[in-house]
Amino acid sequence: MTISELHIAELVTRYKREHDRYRKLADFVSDEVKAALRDAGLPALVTHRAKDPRSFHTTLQRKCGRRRREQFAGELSEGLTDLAGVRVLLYRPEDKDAAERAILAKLELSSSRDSPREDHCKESGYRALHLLVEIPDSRAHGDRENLRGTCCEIQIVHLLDHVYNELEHDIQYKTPGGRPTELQGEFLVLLRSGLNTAGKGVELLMGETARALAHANAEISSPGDLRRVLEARFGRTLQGEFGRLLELLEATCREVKPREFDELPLDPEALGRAEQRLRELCIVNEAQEVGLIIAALWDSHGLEFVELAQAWRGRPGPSRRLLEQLHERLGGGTDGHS
Amino acid sequence: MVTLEHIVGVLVRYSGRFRHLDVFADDVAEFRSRDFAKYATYVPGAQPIALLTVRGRLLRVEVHQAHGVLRCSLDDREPASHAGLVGGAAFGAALGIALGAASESKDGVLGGLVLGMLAGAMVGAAADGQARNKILTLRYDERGDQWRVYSGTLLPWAKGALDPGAS
Repeated sequence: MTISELHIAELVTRYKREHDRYRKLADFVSDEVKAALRDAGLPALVTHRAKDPRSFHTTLQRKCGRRRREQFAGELSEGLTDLAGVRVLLYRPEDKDAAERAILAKLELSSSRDSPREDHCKESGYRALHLLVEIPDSRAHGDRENLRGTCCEIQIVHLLDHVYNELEHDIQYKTPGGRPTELQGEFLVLLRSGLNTAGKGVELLMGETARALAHANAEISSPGDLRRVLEARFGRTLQGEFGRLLELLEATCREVKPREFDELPLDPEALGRAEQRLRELCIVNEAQEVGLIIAALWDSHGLEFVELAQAWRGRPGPSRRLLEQLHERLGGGTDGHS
Repeated sequence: MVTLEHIVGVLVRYSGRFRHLDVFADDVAEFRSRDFAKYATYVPGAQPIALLTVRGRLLRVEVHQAHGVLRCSLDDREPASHAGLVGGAAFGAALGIALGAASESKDGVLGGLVLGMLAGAMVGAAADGQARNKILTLRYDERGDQWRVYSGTLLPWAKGALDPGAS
């Protein structure tokens, strides 16, 4: 049975009562997302909100023919997935996979949904990755108990695609017929072309800034800077827990500066050797390139890294798990000290 | 408060990896109370040195008075080889300055936290820069009576304040 105007009014009243809970969920998920992106060294802007009750009303009216009453019998977010929403605006489109991976290390895809992950690349030009997530059971306790099983929608989108998405959204939902006029269509093509050029500019500028940062040899004080400096050094995109890597380096290096890396086995060949070593040790590297860097530094810094990682609170992440495996297989490292 | 035994203990634990431990002078019980003179022999110099036998090991303590820091290391030589050395007064005077400098340097920021920094890494002759740069910051856990690695919010400050080579 589809929903009627009377039922919509009941649902709006119910949503107003539950609004605070969705706001709490959005706050929490947003904090988790920000922490995940910071640790991964991914530059991004993160916004969040709980859907406004008026917007809830409007959306229900628009979608009433496509929604059934039963969908709202349990959690309201079963019927409308974006009641709690977090938007991640990435500076670089190539960071999308890394962002998804970092976020899903902290939050779980909703198990109650058929398709909790949708990578949209629509004919209309809309592009965004949608993730429907829930707080893991292990963390849904205390004052988060009432968030258990409630779904939050995370949209991961390139900053420039977001501009296009918003303008295209206005055409689709705020103009009669929801289709662009001929002139609007031409302007959308023009906009897409301009955004592609701007995207290239952002990429070139960020690359040059990373090189300048390395050249200036300033102290590296953020996971994002560490990632950029190492990417410039290796000449490719890197992924992993850069926040953890920075913690390890800060605690074991008097200075964490680009030129100090010249003294360490941090070159493409060393990473290749580290990869080979992990293979020989039958260690599956879930820590990505950060894991290779850790493995490359094992002989000189491994034991100190292990001690530091053992003091980290919370569920062990990929970097800590890798260190524990290296320690288990190599013990005191190859220099013979334990 | 940290004692000379704690310092020797951590140097033994990290022997083969780090040569010395840098600590604030006023964090070491025997130096704060000046209850060490009867065990010590001295080597005078710009950074006066005291040599003390602790837990059967010879501990070398170099005073960096301007920074309020003591650089502690295990000396491989036998204690007898230092017999007859003088300089207790010079060491005592330098220590007095160091105690004041340590208190001034900390200026209450540590709030009772005792930090130390292992330095002088032994990572092979081919990597001098690496050895110079490599450190490990520790905090003394009084309740557990042991040193633990430290990577808290005071780390950047500690790396500067505990480095006798810093300008």
